Amino acid sequence: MKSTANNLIGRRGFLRKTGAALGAAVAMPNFFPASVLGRNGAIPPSERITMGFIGVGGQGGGHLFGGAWTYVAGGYAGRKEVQVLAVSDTWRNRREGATERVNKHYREVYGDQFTPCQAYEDFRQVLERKDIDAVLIATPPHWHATMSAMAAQTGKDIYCEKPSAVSIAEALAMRSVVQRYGRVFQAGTQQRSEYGGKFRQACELVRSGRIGKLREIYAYRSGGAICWPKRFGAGQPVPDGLDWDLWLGPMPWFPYDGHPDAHRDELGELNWAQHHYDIVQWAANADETGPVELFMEGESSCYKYASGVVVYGKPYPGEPVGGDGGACFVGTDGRIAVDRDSLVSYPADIAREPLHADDVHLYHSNSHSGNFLECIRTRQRTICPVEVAARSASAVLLGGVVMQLKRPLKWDPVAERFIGDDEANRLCSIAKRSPWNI
Amino acid sequence: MKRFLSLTVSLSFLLLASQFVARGGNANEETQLIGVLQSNHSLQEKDETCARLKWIGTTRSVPVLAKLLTDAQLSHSARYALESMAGPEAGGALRQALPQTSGSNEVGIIDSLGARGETAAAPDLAKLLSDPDSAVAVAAAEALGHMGSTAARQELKKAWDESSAGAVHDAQSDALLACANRLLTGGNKGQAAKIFQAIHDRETNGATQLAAFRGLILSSEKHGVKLMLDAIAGSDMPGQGAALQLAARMKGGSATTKALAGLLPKAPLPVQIALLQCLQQRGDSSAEVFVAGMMDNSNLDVRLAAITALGDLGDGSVSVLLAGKAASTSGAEKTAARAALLRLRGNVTQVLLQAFTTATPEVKPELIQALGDRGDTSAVPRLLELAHGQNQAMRSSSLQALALLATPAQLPDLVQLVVQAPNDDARSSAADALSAACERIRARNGHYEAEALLQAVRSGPLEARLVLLPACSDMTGTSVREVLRAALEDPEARVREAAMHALCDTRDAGLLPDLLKAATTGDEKTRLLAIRGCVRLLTQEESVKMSNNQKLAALKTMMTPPLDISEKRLILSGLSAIADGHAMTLASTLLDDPAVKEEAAQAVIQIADSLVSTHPEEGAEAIRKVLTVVTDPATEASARAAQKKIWKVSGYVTLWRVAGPYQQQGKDYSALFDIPFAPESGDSAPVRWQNVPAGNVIDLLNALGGEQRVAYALTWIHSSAKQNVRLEMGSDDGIKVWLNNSVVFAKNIGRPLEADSDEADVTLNQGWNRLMLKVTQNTGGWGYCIRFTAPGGEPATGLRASLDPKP
Repeated sequence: MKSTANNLIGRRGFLRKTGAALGAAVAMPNFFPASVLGRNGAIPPSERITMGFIGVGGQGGGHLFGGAWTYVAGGYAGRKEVQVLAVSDTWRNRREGATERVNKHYREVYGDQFTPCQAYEDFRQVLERKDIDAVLIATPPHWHATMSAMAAQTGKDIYCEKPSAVSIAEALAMRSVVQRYGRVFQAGTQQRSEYGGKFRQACELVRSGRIGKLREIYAYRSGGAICWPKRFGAGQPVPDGLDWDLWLGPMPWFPYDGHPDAHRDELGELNWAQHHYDIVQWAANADETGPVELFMEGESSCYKYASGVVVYGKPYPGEPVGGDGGACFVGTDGRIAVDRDSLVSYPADIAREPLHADDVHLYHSNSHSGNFLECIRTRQRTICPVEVAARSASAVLLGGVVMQLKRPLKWDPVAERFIGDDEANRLCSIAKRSPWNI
Repeated sequence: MKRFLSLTVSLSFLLLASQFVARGGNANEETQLIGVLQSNHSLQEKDETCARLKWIGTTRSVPVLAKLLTDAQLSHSARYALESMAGPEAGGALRQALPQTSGSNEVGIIDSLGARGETAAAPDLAKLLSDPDSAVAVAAAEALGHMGSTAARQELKKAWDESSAGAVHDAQSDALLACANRLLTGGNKGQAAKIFQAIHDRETNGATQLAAFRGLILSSEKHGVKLMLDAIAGSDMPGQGAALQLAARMKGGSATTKALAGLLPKAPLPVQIALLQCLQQRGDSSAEVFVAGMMDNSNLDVRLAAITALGDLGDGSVSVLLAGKAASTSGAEKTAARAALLRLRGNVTQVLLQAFTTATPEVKPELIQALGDRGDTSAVPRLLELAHGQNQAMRSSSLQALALLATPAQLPDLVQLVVQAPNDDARSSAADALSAACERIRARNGHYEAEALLQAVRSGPLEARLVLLPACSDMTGTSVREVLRAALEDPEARVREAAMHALCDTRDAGLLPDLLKAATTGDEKTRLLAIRGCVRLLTQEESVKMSNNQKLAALKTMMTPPLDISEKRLILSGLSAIADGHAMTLASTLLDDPAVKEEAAQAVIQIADSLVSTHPEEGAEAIRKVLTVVTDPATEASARAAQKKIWKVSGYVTLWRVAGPYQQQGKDYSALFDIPFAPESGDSAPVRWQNVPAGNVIDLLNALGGEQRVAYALTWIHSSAKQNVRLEMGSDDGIKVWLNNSVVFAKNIGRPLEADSDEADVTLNQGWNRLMLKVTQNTGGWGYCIRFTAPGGEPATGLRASLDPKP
């Protein structure tokens, strides 16, 4: 196993070794809402929210430049209230290509009057820049929680892709650090904002009692986990332009094996399930709590809330709506199924009747990125703050634990520990490779 | 599929392990695993053994794992097992390994002690706070911060006091912040405040200082509120940000809320907006009056924030204010005001109803809208009283609100408004409201109880019957059919006429025979009306569920008697909406009618277009006939476009056998593109060709699955003559094509499948031609589609495919 310079420098040491100390003032944009400044005119550079992008593969690149799933044409680079100052990726071609594209775009828009975007191999160089307000993290999942925590410690606001964490312990640690530093955080569970508000509407209907008392939720996907990888073997030459050690980060070191896939070594539905469980938690009014019991039904992880509501990690039999990021909610008087394409109810009039005054009205956002940027300005909670993200990630990971142990488990959602179950508690954490730690 | 394939041996190991654990563990197994660690097994085997011991290891395993902590290659594996193992033995092993390690391994062990909260290690870690290796010193600080014990805190504070700026100092600050936040959560605010104050006073690192300030506010009881308020009112932007973030959740009840709201008037514009949002998130109605005061601010964004906040904070007392705002503004402000009216709590209904009598004509519609949007059905009795009153304006407004609010049980009351209306205007308005209410209820519930309405149509006053009959067209069922049929025979001509109009507007498929009768036997005016109604019922009513055959039979019935031009056009419009070959045939019969040939052509084109994927040959034939009769250039252009569309989906080779998948260690899909496997190398390895389901698109992912591999596909094409053709291809991912054993096309690429994305001009021999493909697979989808066309894009002729060359 090789030991690299990065290992020895350490995560904090890097900041001191490679750059000047942070200034007295933490980066923070003025409180001007972008709309005030942007209305009918350009926004002066000093008023733009400055951003760094960490990980610009398919997902991060989509956020940066726009795409079918990113909801805003042109991505963050195309937003006039944002200035992208830095791009980091362990792949040279990605970071250099993205940087060049950002600068080309800015040159077309601003001429030569802009601060160029810089490419960085090491994300810590992005974090040390005090002129950056916020970072968008779209790396492989094993980095998410660690980078989020480090970003908070350097005073950055954070958007982080899902899954928010790959172990329950790191989800909780990340939450603690982000809270400690009072940073604005938004998880990449954009269904709360996008898709025409269908998911919010479904949750409002459920929480308003339109299907009677909520009994069951079908989450369409089981939980997930990340597995300890194969560490020793012949390996292959690391491709030119890839920093393999930094790609691995907190993962155990192993030789390059030709598979730098974002979602390698995952078990179950770790990648996608957080979309589903984010909505499950929202509808069950469980945003800041979790299950009390977990069990398996066939190959599906399932759990029960203290309210008695049972969540099944599988589709509602015969219901086609729900598979694409959604869920089916079953109550005493009917049921509602929602996904990215559809919102249906049985009986049909449940969904047709609009919300009234006495119904539950949930946090409203019709643009996930817009909500993130607005909250950076106003310092208010985003629609998916770190508390919510940690719990929805935890719901997924708890499913991963029960999938591995294949027996009923009891969970204390307040202490966030399994009750009297050493075996299960062992699976809540994965020792990180030093020096990466939260 | 990707994630499962990528799992390594360790997954199978883990899954195997899970079966053991599910059975409650196995002492013998642990003995065997300990033996592996004590032997000369490979590093990989020992690593997997550590991974297994994470699950089942007991104190028996601790000594062998402890030895590995000092092993440069297996230290992390041992930590993986020990870090989460309960009991003092694991922690003891980690502590004892500390002095024997350095650098990365030492840092890892410190991290594990911190993750375990191993308070017994605090003295050991305290010594490392000044370690010359800064990475070790940083890790020690973080670990003590994780522990948060009194001893850990004291050691950290001492080291922090003595250290100066740098990475180690920053780590100590962070760890102290963690300790202080833990004290705060545990209720020890006094101790926490001291730490926060010390850090805030000393630190120059902005993020740390801000975190300390945040903690100071939270831990300083009433003084914390003052700190927060002063910061918001001040000009130190980071502090202001931290204070605003806490303001939404800061305790102190309405006193805090009012103090925050009191900052609104003097705050600069951006802080006003942030304050309004945090007051909204506090949800304390004591801010209502302050927030309402911001609704007339000169800045639109402030007004929007105030209006939105008021929706969550306000009650009936601001409802008229918001209605006035909705009435007097436009765009985002109007939308926000209406949304806010919808969310108001409390005695809103009564206030809105009272406002009915005094509101200006501009505001009144907003009051109605608000009642409707809010679903305030308790307002209905009062609205009915007003609707019966003498004041025409009030009556009109009340009816509009009733249209939005009336429940199914209240429909008879609306019918009575029609029956008892004092004049034609009042009757007409009441009938409109009733109709709108019925439509709204039907849209939501799928049906409504209409007996009161039908009774009024049967036996009500003549004038009421006349205005209520149109509402029958929205209803379905036996009762309404009986009422309509009786009305069609009524001695009063005006009733018969109104009934016929209702019949021609019906959405009830059960009245189709009545409509057909009117369409075939009525007078000229009635026939046209009935044919139009029939075509609409057959082709445009979503609720009507009839087969194409049933629809066509009805249209055929109407085509029987001689038709004038208008009637033919109506029927053609109906035919054009039916995606069926018989509809196309029927429409084609009118291509020879000079009076409607253009309309017939358009109908045929539309039907052929809708049948492209299922009946391309019939469509092509019908379009050929269209092109012989049309004279209108636009229609001709449409026909040619449809023809090209049909050509586009013609000629796919649907019969294939595939071989594979083929892969090679360390080679991705791109590298595999040029590696010849048995089907192309011709070596002696047997090739197993297997059939795949026939189709225009061949789904290799479904047939073979996986990633980073290739497959071959084989078929035979028979050509009646030697001919030049164009090969159109789509593939996911790369594709190489052999025709009669020669490569005619190759593209090494990663991409999704798109039909006709590549083309190659090739020559087919007379007789059988061997066609073989190689298609690569990166990740995700995997498949291809292949077709032949003539060189100009029109369908190729004289071709057929077979899995085997047959005589």
